[in-house]
Amino acid sequence: MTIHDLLAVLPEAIVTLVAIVVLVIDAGVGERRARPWLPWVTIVGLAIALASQSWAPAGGTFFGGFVVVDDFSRFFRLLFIVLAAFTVLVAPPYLRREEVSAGEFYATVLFSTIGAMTIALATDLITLFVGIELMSIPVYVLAGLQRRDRYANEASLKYFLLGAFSTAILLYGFAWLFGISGSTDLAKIAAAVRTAGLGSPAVVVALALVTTGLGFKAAVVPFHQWTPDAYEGAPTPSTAFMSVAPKAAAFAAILRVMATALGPIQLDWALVFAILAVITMTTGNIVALVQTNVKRMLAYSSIAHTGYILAAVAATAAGASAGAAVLFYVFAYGIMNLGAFACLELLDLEGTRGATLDELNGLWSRHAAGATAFTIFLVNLTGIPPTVGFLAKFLVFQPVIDAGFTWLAVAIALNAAAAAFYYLRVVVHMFMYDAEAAAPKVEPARVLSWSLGIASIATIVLGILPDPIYSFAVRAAGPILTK
Amino acid sequence: MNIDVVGLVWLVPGIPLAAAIVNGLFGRRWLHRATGVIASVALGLSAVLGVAIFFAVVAAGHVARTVTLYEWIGAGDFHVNVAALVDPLSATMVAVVTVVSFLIHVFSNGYMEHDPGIHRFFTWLPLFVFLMLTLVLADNYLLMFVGWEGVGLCSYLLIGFWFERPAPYTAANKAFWMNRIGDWGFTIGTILTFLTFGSLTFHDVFPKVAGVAQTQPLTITFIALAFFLGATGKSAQLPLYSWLPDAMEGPTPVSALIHAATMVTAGVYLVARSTPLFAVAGPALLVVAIIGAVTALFAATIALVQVDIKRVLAYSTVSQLGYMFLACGVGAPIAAVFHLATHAFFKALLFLGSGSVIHATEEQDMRRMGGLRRKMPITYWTFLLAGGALAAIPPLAGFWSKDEIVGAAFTNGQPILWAVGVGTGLLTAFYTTRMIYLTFHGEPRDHHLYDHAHESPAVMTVPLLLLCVGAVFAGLVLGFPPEAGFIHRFLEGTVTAEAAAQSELPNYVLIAGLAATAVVAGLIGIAIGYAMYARRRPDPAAVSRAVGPIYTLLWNKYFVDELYDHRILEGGRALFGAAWAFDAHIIDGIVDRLAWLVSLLGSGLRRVQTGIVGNYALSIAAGLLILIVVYGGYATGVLHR
Amino acid sequence: MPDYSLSYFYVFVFFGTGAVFVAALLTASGLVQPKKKTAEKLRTYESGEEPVGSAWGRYPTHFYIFALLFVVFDVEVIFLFPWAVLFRTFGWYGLVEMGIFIFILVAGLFYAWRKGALTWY
Repeated sequence: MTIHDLLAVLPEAIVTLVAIVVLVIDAGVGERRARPWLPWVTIVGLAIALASQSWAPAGGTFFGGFVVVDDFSRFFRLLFIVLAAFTVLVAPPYLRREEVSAGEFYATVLFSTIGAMTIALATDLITLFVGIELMSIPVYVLAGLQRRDRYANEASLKYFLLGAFSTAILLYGFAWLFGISGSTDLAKIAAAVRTAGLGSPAVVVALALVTTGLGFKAAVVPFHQWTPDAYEGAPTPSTAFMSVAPKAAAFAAILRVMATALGPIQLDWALVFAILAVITMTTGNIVALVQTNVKRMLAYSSIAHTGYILAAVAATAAGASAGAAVLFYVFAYGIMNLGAFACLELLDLEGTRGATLDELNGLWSRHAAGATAFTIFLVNLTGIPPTVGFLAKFLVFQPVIDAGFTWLAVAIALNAAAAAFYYLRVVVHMFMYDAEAAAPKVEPARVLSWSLGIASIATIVLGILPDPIYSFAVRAAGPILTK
Repeated sequence: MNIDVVGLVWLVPGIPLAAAIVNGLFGRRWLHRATGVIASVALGLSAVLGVAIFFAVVAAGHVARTVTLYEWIGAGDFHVNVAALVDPLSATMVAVVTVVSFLIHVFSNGYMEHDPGIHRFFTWLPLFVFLMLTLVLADNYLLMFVGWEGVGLCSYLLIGFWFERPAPYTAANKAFWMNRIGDWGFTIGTILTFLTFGSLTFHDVFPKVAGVAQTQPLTITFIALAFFLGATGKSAQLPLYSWLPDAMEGPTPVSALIHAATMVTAGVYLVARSTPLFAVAGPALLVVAIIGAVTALFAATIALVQVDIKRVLAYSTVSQLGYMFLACGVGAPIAAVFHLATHAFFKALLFLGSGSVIHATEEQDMRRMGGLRRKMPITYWTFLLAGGALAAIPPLAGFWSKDEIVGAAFTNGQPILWAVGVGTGLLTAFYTTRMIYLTFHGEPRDHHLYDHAHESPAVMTVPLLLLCVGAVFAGLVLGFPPEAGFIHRFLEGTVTAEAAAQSELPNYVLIAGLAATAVVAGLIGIAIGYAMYARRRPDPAAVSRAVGPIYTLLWNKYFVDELYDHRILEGGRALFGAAWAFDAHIIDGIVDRLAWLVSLLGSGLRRVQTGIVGNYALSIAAGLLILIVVYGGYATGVLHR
Repeated sequence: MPDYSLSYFYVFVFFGTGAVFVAALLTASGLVQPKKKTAEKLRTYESGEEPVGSAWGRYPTHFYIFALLFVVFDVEVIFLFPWAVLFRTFGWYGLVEMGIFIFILVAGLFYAWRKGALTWY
């Protein structure tokens, strides 16, 4: 262990420091005076963390094999820092209105971000597990941060109980993997799994436990049921963060564990993942169709998107293009879904409740920029060109078909077509109907509007010029999926 | 000085895009009516450049040059560029689209003058032109799809331009959903193309077509049919045609540009562009021909009894598009593109003429017009000439192109389709005569309206006159002598599979005979129209009473809208897919009438969502058990992969 | 590994037999037992306390925060112990790392203190 090791995790260390600084400022100068400054402290800190990568070692294994820095971890660093920054930019109006402690919110988001970044660094079960816990526990807190709201309490408690349950399952699976190989190193586990094969009952049990545990984190049906309750009850800025970062981190973990450690038996789990993908996207879409509350509808739609991403995971036999599809989708999904939830923060509704369709009536005439941004995010989620959402779906098709899952590609196409209905219904309500007399007040928040505007334009720019991110995703998928 | 005009091809769509962005950003606050000037100037520049490119391609002969803007997606063996394919076909389209667009933009300055939403109008319209040109210039199916979706979006926005009223936005939604069904076909076609050929670029795909057709004929047929489904949606063919007449709720210049001259021809362009694919696609080509011919006849019969001037034109557009598909289907894609070009001029002119009338009278019902000839001479004469072109009266533009299509049906061994074409020609001549007579001739039937009518300002009449030049001479210039004219030599080899087949000297005796038959049919149509509406012998009212049921059927447009809106919704939802359900929901505004199956399933799944943590944990545990069983099944060999 | 698999097979048989046995016993006893439901019997058992009030009642969580803080610093001591024993082996690097660790905990303590978690009321 040298100072070199510490430098390798410099971005993570800086994010940690920023989180502590935010907490100390909050406690030191008092909530009221610190509130306007905290978001900017956080943003600057995140920017420094991102920039600090240039001083960190470019690549290699550190801490005696517990941590690896490669393009994969760098891709997710970028993604998580961007998501955290976006969350922090859009949160303040809501936090002020609902009297949620700002310092705690930003610090908790940062703590969760550190965990998510750690997951991407892991080539070892222990690092991975620490990362997963470090990411999850702050998210349980985020769900319940609005302490006096019943629904937030319910969301937090449910998420926590079921999260603990599934973590236990995951950890049990890790224990079996350790039992098979006598090591926590993913590469050594892969070697042991290759020798044992699926013929060994231990591998069967480990595989099932790990699939369940990671499936829960990514909200795969049938391990998804916490999602709508937790997303709907949590304060909206928390929901925005919860719906993207932990999911992206879960897919980072899935790629690390399934493609590396369990890669040798890829053929055995690929079909199961493909079936889970179809069940997940179909369930998410069908239930989303009948929702009238937009927040809950978006919760179900996020389950559907899990299905699309899972389809690309199932296609890892197709090589790096599948991994790149997962990474690109996760990136695109992160921005568009976070943006869609953040648009709900524009409306002043009591408690954590999301807007119903009727409450969005005529938003276009009351807040044109917000309605436009929301529309762009929904068009992204629908997957209509030239948005990045379209490209992300499109990129999933090729590996899925290359891997021999033509029926899965058909299922994705049908699901995407059905999903158009409930997304565009929101647009119809915003543009075509007149606002009701009792329509909720619109938040006059400048930073929020600008952030939404910039993010929505970014989704279109990325749809037209995807190459910087896509080639990064291809490079990042390299170390995972080149055999 | 030698400028590489073709290299500048991206400026052609680029300039309208710039105008759209400027108008979109600054229109509402600062520019207001100046947006119209900006858009018109931009389109003027674009048109000049478009025509220059056309001539550059003419001068260079049979070129097909790819101008790459940048690499869009490039990973592994999958490459898609944002690149323009400049060849005779796209050059022809670019010239037609830019010139017609420019004239319509100028016209719109007068037509939309008093509309408070003028800045919106002049944002969407150049944006539409940009996307249409992207569609036309694309060198691959994916970029084409971007343009394809984009023009659909603009069409949606412009149909619903007056969204304060219910009819336009209902129509906009209808158009949108019907197009979505077609787009679905396009998507399937694109994916299958990539799977089969490993590329989406035209010049990669088409050389491989013949080889693949030997080994996988069914795949090729299926791809062709999928693309054709896309084309039926965009080009308003059976069964996805009914959005186009409703789309007339949009401003009239929009109807002229999007729903007559350009966007609706995108389907024809797609089929013409994919000619190498369709040529080996077995029965697909016959499907195209039959759908085209049936649509032509079907729409023409409905046009016979319409009283709204724009709806007559709308059904006539559907009918003329049917002709173009008929041409593609009988192996005469050149004739299709030829008719596309002439139709763009005379139909745009007819729409703008009707717009001029509507602008002057604020009325669309022809029963309340009459005698306007004296009040609006320029509009009348240009309308008359364009009507003549529509009715295929020699030597006007429509005659040359339409005659060629009908003739091709005969010479390519489809006498029944030929007969349908000729019959449709008769009907076309009849409803054109009826429309012109009801609008411009006879005694004024509404004196208040007549007294207030006036000729439109120069900003509107000048584009009419310029388009009229095209409507009169385009046929002669492009297509004379028949089957060996300029356009044939120009497009030969680009859209025809075998250039050699065309090089024999055409059989002029046969051509003349067929042309004479068609002209006679047209004249009979005009004569009947004249007799009924000028002489009242037989009286139109008496005729409609005499053929009562048929008249009712036509008056209600074969009850297709009712069928689509209700019957299919009730009974055959599974047959037509959930898309119809969407259609009906938006149209009827009944949000909760989702397909019962889906809602049953949805609420069933919702019931699983009990909110009780124990149940959720149970389902996780159950999922885990199932996974163990499945994986164990693999391991023991009970289950197979 | 047939022997290995076989031993698992025995375990599964054991599980299965057990499950069937328990289910059979419960079913049988459910069928034959007499049931007399009285209000007293159906009441929730709460260690002899009278069950009153709503399950949604609030209670102070102050004690738990104290307990948590105690546990945190208790665990800190456990970490400090081996480090202190091997202080020379770890050298400067160990000192810095432990410094970071303690700094984070102190920051947490500062936060808890400023937010009033250490004030009993």
